[in-house]
Amino acid sequence: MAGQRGTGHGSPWAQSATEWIAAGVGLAALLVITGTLLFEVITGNGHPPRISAQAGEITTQDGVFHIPVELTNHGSRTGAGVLVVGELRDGEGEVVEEAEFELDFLPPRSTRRGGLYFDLDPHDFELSISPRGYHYP
Amino acid sequence: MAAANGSRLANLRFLVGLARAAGGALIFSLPLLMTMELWWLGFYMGRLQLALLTLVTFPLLVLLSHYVGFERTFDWREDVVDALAAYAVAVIMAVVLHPLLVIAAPGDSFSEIIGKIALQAVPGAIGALLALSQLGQAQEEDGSRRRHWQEEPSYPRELFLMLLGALFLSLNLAPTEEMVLIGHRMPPLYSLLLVVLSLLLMHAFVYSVEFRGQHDPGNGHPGHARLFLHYTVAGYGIVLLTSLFILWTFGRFEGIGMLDVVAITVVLAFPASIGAAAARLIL
Repeated sequence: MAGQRGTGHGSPWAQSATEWIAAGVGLAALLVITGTLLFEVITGNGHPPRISAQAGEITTQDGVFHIPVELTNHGSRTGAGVLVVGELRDGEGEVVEEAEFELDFLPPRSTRRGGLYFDLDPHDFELSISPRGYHYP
Repeated sequence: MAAANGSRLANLRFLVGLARAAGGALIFSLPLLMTMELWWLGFYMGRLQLALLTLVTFPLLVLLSHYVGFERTFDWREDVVDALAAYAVAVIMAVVLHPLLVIAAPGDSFSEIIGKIALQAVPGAIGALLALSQLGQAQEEDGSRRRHWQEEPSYPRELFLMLLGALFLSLNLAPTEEMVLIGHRMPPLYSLLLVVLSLLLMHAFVYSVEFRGQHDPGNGHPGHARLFLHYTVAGYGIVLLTSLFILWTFGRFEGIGMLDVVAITVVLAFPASIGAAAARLIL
């Protein structure tokens, strides 16, 4: 032990195998993180949020109709304050009921979930769910 | 036989060091981990800025290992290995804690998760490295390294420690909206007063460091003016640049006039200057 210290490699754990493993993990993490970020810098073209809404299965909860909604951002920038509006239209195209919710943030390529409540049965009407707007954080 | 024992001991000591590093990473990164503005920055801040922050942090970690680490030799390879190990600990800590605290959840894109972890790894790695080297000194029976420093204080080392302290404090405070809000509300005269107060407080720290390090009063003690220029003013310059860099990195200057850029930088530089000055006292 004393000899090891005396060699000039001051750290007591200078040449241990675990140290090299830890350093290898650190190097891999550093490369993956900076690599991913720089890849995004090169390929990212600053496209505004492109948001798609996917409605889930309609269920009833205490007499109201619930529709889960999944939103995905296909653009390359984060949308904040994303307003999602669901509308029920009758045969003549008149809006008979409206429901909405707002998402704080929708990062690029990420998916967030929310839900809409309707008093009328969406099965009897034409349902449309669409994102109406966003702002940049 | 003796060699095998030695290597097993070295491995064991390193594992103990890693556990200690995990503790350091936790202490340094928890305040940021539990700040939601930081999670948001993880996905919306500029990718170039985040890559730059990561790339700038790594040489800083190597330098930190060089200046604070408990090796008596100046082996750069060793410092790089230590910095990488500290980074690994910080990243693993972030990878474990993000899902546990549901900061990363199903539906989050790879880019979003990488962004959050990259941000979190910066203070975590600083904490891990400090714990590896600083707390390790307590186990070293001889305090030769520390005494060596006090006899020959190195000016670049002192400036580096100030940079590190400023970086850590500004990383913690810059993500919050309050920096921008305070900057917007302050009249220019108040900003000026804040600069004076920052300088005064920094100088108080500088003076107390000199006082602490001085074993032999009256022997080559530098004058106040020289101290002020060499440490306080130079340190405040470093603090301002660090604050400016961090605020720019976090996109805090977008759509803001030049006067507000100065005001917000001065606001962040206030805590950062305390961090810078205190780092010299603590490390």
